[in-house]
Amino acid sequence: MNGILYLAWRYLAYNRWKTTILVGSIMLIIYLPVGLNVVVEQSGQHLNARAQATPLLVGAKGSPLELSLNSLYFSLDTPELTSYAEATAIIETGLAEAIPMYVRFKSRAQPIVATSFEYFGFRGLALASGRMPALLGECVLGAASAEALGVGVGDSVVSSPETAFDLAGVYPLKMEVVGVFEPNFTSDDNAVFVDIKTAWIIEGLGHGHQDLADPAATSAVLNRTDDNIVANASIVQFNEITEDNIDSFHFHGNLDSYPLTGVIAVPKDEKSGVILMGRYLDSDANKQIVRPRDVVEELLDTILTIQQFIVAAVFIVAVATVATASLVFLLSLRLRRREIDTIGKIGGGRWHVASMLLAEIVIVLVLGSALAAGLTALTWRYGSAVIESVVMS
Amino acid sequence: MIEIQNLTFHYGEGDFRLDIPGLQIAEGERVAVVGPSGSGKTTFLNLIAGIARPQSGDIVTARHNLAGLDDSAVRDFRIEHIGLVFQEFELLEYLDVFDNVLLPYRVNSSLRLDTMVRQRAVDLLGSVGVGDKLKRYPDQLSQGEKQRVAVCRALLVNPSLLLADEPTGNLDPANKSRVLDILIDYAADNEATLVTVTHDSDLLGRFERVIDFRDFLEKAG
Repeated sequence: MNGILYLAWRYLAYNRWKTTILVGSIMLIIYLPVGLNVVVEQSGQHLNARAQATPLLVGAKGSPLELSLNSLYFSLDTPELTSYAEATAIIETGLAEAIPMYVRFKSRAQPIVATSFEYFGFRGLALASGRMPALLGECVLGAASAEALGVGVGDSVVSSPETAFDLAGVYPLKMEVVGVFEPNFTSDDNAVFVDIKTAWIIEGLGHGHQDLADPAATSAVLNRTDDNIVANASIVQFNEITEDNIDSFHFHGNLDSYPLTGVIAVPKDEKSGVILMGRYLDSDANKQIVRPRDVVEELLDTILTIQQFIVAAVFIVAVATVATASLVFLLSLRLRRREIDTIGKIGGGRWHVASMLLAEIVIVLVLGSALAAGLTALTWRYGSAVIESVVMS
Repeated sequence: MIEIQNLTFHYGEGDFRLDIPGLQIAEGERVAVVGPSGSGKTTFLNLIAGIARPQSGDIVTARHNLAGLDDSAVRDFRIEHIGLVFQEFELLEYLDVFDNVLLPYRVNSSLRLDTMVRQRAVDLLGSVGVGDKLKRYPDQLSQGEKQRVAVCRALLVNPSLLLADEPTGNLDPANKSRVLDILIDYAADNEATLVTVTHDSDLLGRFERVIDFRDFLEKAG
């Protein structure tokens, strides 16, 4: 038996390119449907778990999917904006707790998630080090985010401009890292959490600048009346919030009109949830309430349909591949006629020759299957990360 | 000793027919087989080796009547007693020189491949001048080297009967002489019988007897 395996292995090793192609083909026809199934199953679990844990989402009318992906998985495809007044309105109903969400900016590749303190308790986020944000300009990082940015408590991160060429747009705000969360293996791990007001400062809705009463700022003052001072662009704007300048930060206008991407509504009980939904469904206003699990289920149905098409295509390709591989094998038998005759003449029986050829097939199948199993294991291990990055992008 | 009585052989189709009423080759004898192409020389070697089976008649090779043996027994007999050398060498392209020589031991479970056999293979290859090319593949060898490796494969099992089918047919004069020397020396040293098919009249003087197959060839119709 050793001799049979040895000869089969030598043949495959000598014809390494042919072997590689055959092993690769076997690997692909096994891995594609299995790996796809793993990815779909994991994405289903991943998306579902988060959606199940989020009872209701309120936002501006538009795509429920965009609203859900943004508020739950921090996709940077910004949905239609709603306002902070929506959160206030939900609280005033007494039916639910409201957690405002503003997910629009990022620090390098990590989403900056602006929310309220209640969010951390709602998601069960626990600190691994440091403390929760208490002041403007402070942030707490998810575990993966801290690793990706290479920072920890006491360091700082900077918000990224929305576009590199938009000079009049959002300018970078340097934020101090005051805490890092334990990993919870959800989108939270990739986030940079800040207070809602900090996000509004990033957007330029709130700002801090040089005191115009300061004599050093006199040259920047264009017009001064009893109740108003107009300054030119030479006034020094702060791009970092510190103990010294925090008092200079202020917001103009009514905060209720400031933007949010969504509001997570956590009803007091099931009945309250139904009533709240009813109020929104009856409303003609430019807003919507969605149940994330329904949105995700719809998304998964679409994914499953696509998966079925892909599996059907892979099956057809697999049949063609097996047919081609069989043809290659039969042709190679003709080409190896003399070799087979020689083995027979010097003492190898038919059983021996058949076993040798069978061993070659088995080795190719085993190698292809082993590689497919390895790839599937990798997919199982890193599939969530891939799904995460796909959803985020 | 090879003894043939009333042998007739023909392929399933075609008009080829070989009739050998009687033929004896003594133990240790060195015999050249000559004859025109298609006269049945290679078929004769195949019959002696049990690779082909006659329609009638007896072949007794090395005291074994092949007619009474089944395929498996004939194969065991061939492994134990016969060394085969082919005109086209028939080395396996995917095995290196060393593994090609060891091939009989790899394809038959009745032979045990141990350290002594490996050492004997190395010694044989050294004795025919390819001891430094054990890891080379057939396509890296000259024609003469290929045939010397093929001869080593035939000699590894210590055969009492060497059957060579035009072993020098594809070789230059120097290699012809060298390969034939190896075969004849082995036969002389081991009292083995050597039956060699050849078209090369220059070599006939090296054999004790020449069998001309024109005597046995019979065309049907």
